[in-house]
Amino acid sequence: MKNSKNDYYNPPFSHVYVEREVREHPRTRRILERLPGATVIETEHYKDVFNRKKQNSILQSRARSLIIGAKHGNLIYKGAPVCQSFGNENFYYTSCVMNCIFDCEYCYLKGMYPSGNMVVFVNLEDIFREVEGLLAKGPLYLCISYDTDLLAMEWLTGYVEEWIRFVEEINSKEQNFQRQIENRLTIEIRTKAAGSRLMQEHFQAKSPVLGVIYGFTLSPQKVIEACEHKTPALEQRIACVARAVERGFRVRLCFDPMIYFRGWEQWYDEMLEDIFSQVDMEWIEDVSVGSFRISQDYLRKMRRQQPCSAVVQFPFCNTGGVYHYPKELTEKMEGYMVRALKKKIPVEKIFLWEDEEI
Amino acid sequence: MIYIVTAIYAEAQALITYFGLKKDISQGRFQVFGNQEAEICLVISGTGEIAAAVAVADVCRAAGERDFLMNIGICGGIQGEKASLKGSNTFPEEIMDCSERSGEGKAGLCLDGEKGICTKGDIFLCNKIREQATGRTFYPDILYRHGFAEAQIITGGKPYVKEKREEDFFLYDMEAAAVYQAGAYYFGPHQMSFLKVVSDYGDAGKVTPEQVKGLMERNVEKIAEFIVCLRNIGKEDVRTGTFMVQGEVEKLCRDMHCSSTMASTVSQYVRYGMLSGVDIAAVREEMYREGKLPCRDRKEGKLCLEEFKKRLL
Repeated sequence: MKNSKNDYYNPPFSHVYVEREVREHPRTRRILERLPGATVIETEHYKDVFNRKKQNSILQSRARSLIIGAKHGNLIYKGAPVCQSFGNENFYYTSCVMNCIFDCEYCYLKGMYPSGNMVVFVNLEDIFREVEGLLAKGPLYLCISYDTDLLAMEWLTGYVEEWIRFVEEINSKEQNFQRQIENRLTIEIRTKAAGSRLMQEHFQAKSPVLGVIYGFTLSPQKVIEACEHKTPALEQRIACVARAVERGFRVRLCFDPMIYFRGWEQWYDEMLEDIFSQVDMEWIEDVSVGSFRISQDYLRKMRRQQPCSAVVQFPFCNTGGVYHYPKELTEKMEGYMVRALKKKIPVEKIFLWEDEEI
Repeated sequence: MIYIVTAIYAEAQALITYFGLKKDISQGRFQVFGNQEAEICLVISGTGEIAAAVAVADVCRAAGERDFLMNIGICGGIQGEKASLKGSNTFPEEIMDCSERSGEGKAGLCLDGEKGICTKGDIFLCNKIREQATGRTFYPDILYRHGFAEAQIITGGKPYVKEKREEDFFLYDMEAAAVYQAGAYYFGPHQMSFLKVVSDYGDAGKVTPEQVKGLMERNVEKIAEFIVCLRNIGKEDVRTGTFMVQGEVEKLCRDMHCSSTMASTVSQYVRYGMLSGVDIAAVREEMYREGKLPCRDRKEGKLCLEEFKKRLL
């Protein structure tokens, strides 16, 4: 027991709840081996812990527990209207992990989930089977890191590597050469992860796979410091992007969500300057731009839980149940970003969430 | 406030003495002891689930989101004398071996390096509670660092007898599940803690109040340290979680002749302005100086609000 302010809370994953059904699953064992100091508690169903009433996800995120379970029912979902499809018709997403190791004040997960704890589903094969079923109807674009940051959890789950192997296997089965190039299955791995370990173990040691796109979310350092807690610094993220591009990985830059603060133009200017000076923009797959927007139900919960967060307490406008910055400000921010990007990247590679393609 | 529920006086006596709690004679149904300064309210519920649930309901009506509920008392050790914690678990030994869980940065430590051996007088923080009658299971959050071993407890309607071994559980009592269920009306899972001291291995009838008192005294400092930590955490959250904008908003709304919708907009803008470091007072004073405030009527107020919004962003 410590008395200094920051020491009251347990370290992350000090407690792991494991569904009885998956306690002997090889992935469960692998994860637990990587958490040798954790207290393991058996549970009947992951929802017994994750869906308890009156949880405080903000406090839980300071001492996050891990829940390991199996996912049943629908495993793949149609992409939501507020998400960008990047021109892909068959746009789906899946959640083999729920919740994120990072702690961004504006993250919709804080409004969506009843808990700040993380859930890892170990029955990946069931998800893979459902993907194969959908592939029978045509090419598939699948986001695997929407309700989490899968790459940031790679040290624990190894799921990114498993997904990449699956994509390689699926796409190599295609006999038609043209279709092979087009990829039957394309996955997007959205992330804020960075750092030397990720660079060495992923972007240095591995070879690029055609059906895999890495979507790096980039924010000005001021935004990172103010509200993207526990995430890598901008400098680290840019270095990671630069290395990935250099090694031939397909990289998407996501300026989404753009966050308003006084003096935002200067912060975004500085960020773009750093990116353009270090990343070879010619090889960037595409770019996503979008100012912050969120469902009204999620924002209400987030405001209640984070009364002192400027980013969620912004006086947003509500259109059809979605909160967003005032129209004038939205246009100003997104317009500014698109104009700046157009100087470095072809316009057809720039995607705005509302208009899809400019 | 820390609300503490014990079943019998002997379980509470050490805490009453340690914190200098005084009997609250205004309470009729249960014996309640309190100390405003220590921010503790201790209730002696009587034995069993119904009594525990009623006691929680009786004293916790005014509980808030920064308060905590603790159930402290004795319990039976289900797995027998000198049973190992890992023996009560079905996970691989290398995962459950408590002896390796020591040192900084680890939670769920076993007690005093005793390698998970359960002996009389050992104290445990419960991380899983099952109600024997219904089979329902409850999981209090273990968010805060502590110096206790952790264990799973089963709550039954009768005193524990050796023959009824519950393989998956380590401890047995008669109140914890009820305290959790009644407490859940007032508290979240992050606000409830269950501390149990092993007093017997299925022969609770032979345990005297004097022995119970002695077992609790052995652990009182450790328990007190945890209580003080929880109290400080509650206060810390008060400092970071409360944000007063009311005074600022009321004056502006009055001078802008705001409707309730306009008032809610003003409130949100003021809150955001304060959080993002805008000098609200300077903006407001400037508008008074320029004669834009106070407004004559709501029509003028609406225009003034638009101006106020522009100046804040």
